[in-house]
Amino acid sequence: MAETVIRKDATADLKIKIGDRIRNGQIVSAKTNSACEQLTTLPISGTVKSIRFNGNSHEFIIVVSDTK
Amino acid sequence: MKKIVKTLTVIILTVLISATLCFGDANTTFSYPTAKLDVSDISFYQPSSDITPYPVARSKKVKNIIFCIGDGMGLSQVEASRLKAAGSAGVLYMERMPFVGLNRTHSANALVTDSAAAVTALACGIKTNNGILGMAPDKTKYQTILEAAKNKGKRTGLVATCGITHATPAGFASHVKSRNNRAKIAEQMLANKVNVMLAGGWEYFLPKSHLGSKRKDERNLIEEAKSAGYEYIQTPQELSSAKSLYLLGLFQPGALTTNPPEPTLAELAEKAIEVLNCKKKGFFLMVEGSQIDWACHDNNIDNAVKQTLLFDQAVKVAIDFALKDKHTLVVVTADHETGGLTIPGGDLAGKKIDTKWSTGGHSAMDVPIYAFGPRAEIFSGVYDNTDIPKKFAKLFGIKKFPKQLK
Repeated sequence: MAETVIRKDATADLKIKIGDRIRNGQIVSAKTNSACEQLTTLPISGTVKSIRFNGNSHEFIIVVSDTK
Repeated sequence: MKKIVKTLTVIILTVLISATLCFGDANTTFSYPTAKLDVSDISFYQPSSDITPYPVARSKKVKNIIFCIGDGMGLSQVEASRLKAAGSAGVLYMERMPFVGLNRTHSANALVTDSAAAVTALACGIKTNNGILGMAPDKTKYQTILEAAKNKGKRTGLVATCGITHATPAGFASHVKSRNNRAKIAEQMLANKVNVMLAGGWEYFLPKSHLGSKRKDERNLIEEAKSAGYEYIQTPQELSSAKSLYLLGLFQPGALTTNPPEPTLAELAEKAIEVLNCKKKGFFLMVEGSQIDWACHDNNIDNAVKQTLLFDQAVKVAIDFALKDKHTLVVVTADHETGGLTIPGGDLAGKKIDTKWSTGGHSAMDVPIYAFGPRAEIFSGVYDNTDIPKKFAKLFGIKKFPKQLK
């Protein structure tokens, strides 16, 4: 099973949680309008396997597994 | 057999990596053993036996300012910490400061700020977009209160429990379009000749070829710092024996562990004050409890309380100095609240508190301000976060602030 790691700035809360089946293009969090934030929608489909906060980068690290 | 070989390989690799980190380049890196302590253990904290407010200062002359920022520290974080450490009748040291206010935290383009826009407000006195440090939304650079204080001849310092190039400390001594440009931030902070920088984050100061570096070039900013007159320190022993008026202390890659044997935020603040207090013209020092925010992103109340109490210990160090000095203003606030924390129940002794988190991100709630020392009364009331450095500038006799940089 392939896994993809997605990094998302943690200023705004996530709209996904562990175990969710997610779709490519789904909104990942509220907009923060950050100058350095690119990701607002999910780039892949799959199942959210884990979510962890990384303080050093101030990001949520989201692991998504391929559901195929 | 395979299992034994695998285990041996892991052990050998671990020893080799540890040895490289600890002794590979003794002049530039040092790694502490990682102590994994119980975050609910707050026995390190001694609450104040006196719950009365600190006295209102008689002097009106502000020579020094110590600006303490609890990242992500809203009123509920303060209250939860007070209940856990001192019970419902007790107080934190910051709560004994005689003047209290609230500040609004929104950024130029979002109701919920991030730490970059928030620190730009707190350091430069201007609103900017989330993600930007030390610049307006149109990318015009603005002088920070630290830079303005330095131009007035004051010594300057930054102390934090995150990496020194993380948003809050970076916002006082750098100007970049993205808070993520940490290598450039490190260069600018060094070029700014801040007298004292004590935190984590050596990975942005070492060349790409050094194990653990996150730079994309071969610049060795630690060697550059030494050439520029900085004393580079990495251990508690070096911290206590350091004598230079320029100190660069990077105690970890990334953030501090906030566990022994690493120096505490209070010990770092104490050293910074000792060094900065050498000059007659005074100083500006920023002390950040960086990891309150991180604990709240994790919705971890035990760690949020621990980090807030570690921060409060540093605030006490600032207050103790100000009580003796008489011309030092201490202001405590937060850049924003994190977690949307509320306390819907619990017992009066604080043995059990119920907590409810409404988000894993930041919230738009106002944050508290506590002030002690000469002219502390001007920090009462409800106002914008951009007003705080403007007040500092007036007290320091800085005529033009906010000020664009050429």
